[in-house]
Amino acid sequence: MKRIINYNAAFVIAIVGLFSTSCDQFENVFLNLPIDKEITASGSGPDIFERETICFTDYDSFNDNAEDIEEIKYVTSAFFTINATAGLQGTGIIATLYQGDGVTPLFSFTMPSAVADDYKNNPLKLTLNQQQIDLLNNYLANYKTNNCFVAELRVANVTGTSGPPYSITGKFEMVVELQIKL
Amino acid sequence: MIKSSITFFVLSVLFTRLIFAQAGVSLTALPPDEAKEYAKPLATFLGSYFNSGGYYSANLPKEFQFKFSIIGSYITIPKSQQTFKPNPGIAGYENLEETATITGSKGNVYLGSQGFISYPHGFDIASLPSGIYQAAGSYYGTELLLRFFPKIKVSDSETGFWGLGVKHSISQWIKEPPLDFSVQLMINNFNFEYVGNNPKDYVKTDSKNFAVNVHASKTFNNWFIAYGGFQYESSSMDMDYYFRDPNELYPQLADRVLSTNIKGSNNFRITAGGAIKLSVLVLNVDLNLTSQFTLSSGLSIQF
Repeated sequence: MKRIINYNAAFVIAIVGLFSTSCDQFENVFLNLPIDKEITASGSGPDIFERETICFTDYDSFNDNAEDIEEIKYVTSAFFTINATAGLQGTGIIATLYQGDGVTPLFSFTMPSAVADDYKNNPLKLTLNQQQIDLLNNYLANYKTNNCFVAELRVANVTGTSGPPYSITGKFEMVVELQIKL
Repeated sequence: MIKSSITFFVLSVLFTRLIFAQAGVSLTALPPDEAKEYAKPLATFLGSYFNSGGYYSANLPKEFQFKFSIIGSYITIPKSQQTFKPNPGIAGYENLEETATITGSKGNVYLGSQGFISYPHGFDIASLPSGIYQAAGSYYGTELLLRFFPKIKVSDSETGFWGLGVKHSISQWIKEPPLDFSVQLMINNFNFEYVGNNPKDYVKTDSKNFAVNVHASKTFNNWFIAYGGFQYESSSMDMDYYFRDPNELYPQLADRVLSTNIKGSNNFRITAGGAIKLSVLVLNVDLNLTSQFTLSSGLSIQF
């Protein structure tokens, strides 16, 4: 697919220019790329947590256009519960996104409710502040090396109507926008 | 001829890119009903394009006449065709705000019960130039018009085009008519197919465009022609494409070739224009009030 884009790009920009003075729209194309990861955290507490790695290279949309990507920008993210131990709750359900090294945090978001079932079929948009968005975008600015994240799901001081052990499976979703040069 | 061929080629390449350039959430990442709405302005554009430039005079002599024309069009896409209201047909994703069509700008992202559903961005196109060449021969007040571009392979895709028109002078049967007037019928067909090795990139489209018109003209001093017409037209695009389902919301449709038919918004067209005859050369310009306002001009050799 990338070959098609590259092969045609010169024709499009050069020849369309003969007929139109406003060919800006043919210089770049923008793609939304949704990425997601299921995370299962389990244990006896008091905190249960798990980490999973998400890489852009797991997605065709990234790989197909890798050489022509000019910029990647954060658009939005969300979390929802897929299943959990009955009555699972804690003092906090926390989603944290780290750089690919798994050490440097990009943002940490504590859900307003610490009851896992509140997010079942009811995803929560993770509303980030400008500083967090800037941090993410700065990381994404070097997407050639910074193309992985580590996502962590943690329930602090977990309890449930059954268990221990306790378990929660949630899904972290993020949408980024790729700017691709044609 | 060369320029016109190049222009047509540009259209083919543009079309190639419109379909393929978005490997992420793109036209081919939408289920058929949504792809239909997203791509509707493209089908309309092809209709506006191919249904233009069919005439600059209603006069057809009884003796043999030949014309070769190069036609350029400038087609504007109205704001109303830049967005559409998505309806993904999944519980938890109702009453969504508008998102971009293929000619629009920002594709929206919606959060529903199963997570995000992402719609493709458009190409932010407010107008598009295009061109075509055609040849016509007439005898006894009846004209046959031909448009043709052979199937060519561009990288991993193949594209081709043909068009046919028939026109008959009605005024020839009327004694001393105040105006010349004729009826014309045109069909134009544009094909595109991915012929590469990756089955996941498969796309095949077949754009069919139909027009029937009645037009009139008056020639002044044998060098200036004022003309106008009323046209009924239609456009539709059959599309087969490999559906990847990047939003993971349509597992029953995912990872196979789906088909859809996209109907353009072309219905009626009113044309008004003028042409100047300079010996065997004819220059014409016309305005077309249709779904996508079109300015069309032509340079013809007529003898």
